[in-house]
Amino acid sequence: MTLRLDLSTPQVFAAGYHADLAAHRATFGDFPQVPADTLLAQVQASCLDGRGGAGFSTYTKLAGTETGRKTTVIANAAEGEYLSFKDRMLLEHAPHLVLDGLLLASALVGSSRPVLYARQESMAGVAALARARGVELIQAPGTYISGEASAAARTYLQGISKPMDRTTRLNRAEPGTKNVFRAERGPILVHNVETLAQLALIARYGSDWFARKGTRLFTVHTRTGAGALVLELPHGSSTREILLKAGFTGFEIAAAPAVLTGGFSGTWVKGETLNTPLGALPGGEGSEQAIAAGTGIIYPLLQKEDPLTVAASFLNYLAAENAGQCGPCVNGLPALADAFTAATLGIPGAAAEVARLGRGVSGRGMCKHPDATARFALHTLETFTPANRPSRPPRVLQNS
Amino acid sequence: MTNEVFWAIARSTGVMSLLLLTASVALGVATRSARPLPFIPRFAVMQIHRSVSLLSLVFVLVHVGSLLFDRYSGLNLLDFFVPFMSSSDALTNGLGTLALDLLLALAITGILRARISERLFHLVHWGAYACWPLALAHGLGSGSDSGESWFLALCIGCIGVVALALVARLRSRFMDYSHKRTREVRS
Amino acid sequence: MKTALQEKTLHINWGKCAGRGLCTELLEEKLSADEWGYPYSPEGTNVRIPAELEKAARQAASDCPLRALKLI
Repeated sequence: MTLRLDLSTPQVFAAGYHADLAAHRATFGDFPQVPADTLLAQVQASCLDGRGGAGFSTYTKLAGTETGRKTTVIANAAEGEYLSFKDRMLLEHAPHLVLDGLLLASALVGSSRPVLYARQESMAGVAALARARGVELIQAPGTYISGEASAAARTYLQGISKPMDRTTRLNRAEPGTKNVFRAERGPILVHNVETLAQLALIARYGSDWFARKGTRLFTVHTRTGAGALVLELPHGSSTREILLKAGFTGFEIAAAPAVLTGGFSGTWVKGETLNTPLGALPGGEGSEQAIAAGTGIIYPLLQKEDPLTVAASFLNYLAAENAGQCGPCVNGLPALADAFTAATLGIPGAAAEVARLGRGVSGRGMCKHPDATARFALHTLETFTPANRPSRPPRVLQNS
Repeated sequence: MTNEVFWAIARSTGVMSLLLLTASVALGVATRSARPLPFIPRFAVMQIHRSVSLLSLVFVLVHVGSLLFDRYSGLNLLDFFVPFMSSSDALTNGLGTLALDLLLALAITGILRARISERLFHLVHWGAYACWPLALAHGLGSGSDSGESWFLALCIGCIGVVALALVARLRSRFMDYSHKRTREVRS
Repeated sequence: MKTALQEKTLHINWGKCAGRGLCTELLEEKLSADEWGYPYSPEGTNVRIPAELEKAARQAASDCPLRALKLI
């Protein structure tokens, strides 16, 4: 796992490797003293999208948060998707920028409870820093689902890193319950650590700077012994540009049957779409064609890899990583993964079964995991139909 | 003369309580299975269970009330809520008292179900499995008709019903849809 | 005339739902049992309840053994 930095412009890793407070201050200056409404306006103008996977408008989430002392703000570094490493790299190399962003967001919503939700491997590195800056630290287990926003909130409330039921948005309080022993849930604002780091830069340099020089973090898998690289690149970079920056040759890029971008619920990119920008751009230009950046995972397939077989193994993983709480998901996702595997083998009717199960699990659960899993399964089947599948399905050997 | 009436009411309501509690246990197990009964949808099974349980409480209260007025029972108000303190037949009467205490806990948590946690409700509800054998033991121990063959036949019938319910409860395919589900979920 | 504001919604708490099926009987116009016995509606987790079904929805919510339904 390596981090490769390009230090030519101010960006999240501009303070260099393992930036301590001194390096952080030397590069970025002191903690920005920006009035709340100014900062909010800058975030709105920058069109900063959430970097935790959903790409939701950061301004909309901030502006929609119920303010006050009962509000909690959580910096989410759980990084449940095992192909992603950018959040861990942020905590290892630019923790102070992350904490800046967390404290800025807290001030914006009047919260007195900033929390950092980090994995066990990040804990040792950030514990002292967080404590020194008045940030509470809670631990995320390594499960996929622990990165979900309400799982982060629930870890803070109950110590259980699984999604929880809500009738209101997380950043708004839940109305009172009739149960005399249980208090209502207060508003909880959850932001990915990269989003907060970018927010901390916008607070210093403004939205115009972000439009021209803003960046996005990507985890590129080299599919070699070198493992994965975390790269910081200008937002709006295309998959081709990212792969070239990561050291892939044009030949290698052309030879890959497809590239999975964004993560497990991401997009298969091949051919022309290799040149399409990833992630919505500030100002929204070209956003209709843009491919969702998700969590910034770039996973190119090897030349002989079959996309459907790879997708089947991802779906088995996603099916197994459900939180075990919701009936339709617990039962439906394994069935969907099995149906997908059958479709991979070319069994007739299996693709229709995948679609049927996808409709059955979507929208029925405490989180969007089943929806995203179903969407990925269907997207894969639509992208690699029997007509344009790069390789043949496995054959059954018969005794002659 | 009037004392005979109280004694008669006590005996008859005592027997009825046992029968109703037996029905309640069986219906409770049926409710838990999430299966409909012949011609009875699931929600009706649950509501009948609830009604039978409340009815059994009513009969138990009348049973207890009549014993209060029965001068020869040797029981005072305290004995109906604190077990094993009565001047006569402390053990068997105490069993009845315990059963009543449990039944009251079941009724109260049932009525206040919306206002307490599901875990607390379920925890107290497990007490139903203790309530019934206590009631049976009390009936056989304290009951004035415990020597009568008709009463013993009723008891055997009640034991049979509860035994069947327990056997059903312990089967792996007890729950409806259990054959279709990978496992039961709990949050 | 009833406005959208007055229309209630039935919220399914999937963490509590154990698929006991009482609601699929009491509110069969809106909820059916899926292949695993859990309540299915094309609307997913939050089912809109028109005024004429409000009473049935209220009963479904109060009869749910896991208290997994909330009428809001």
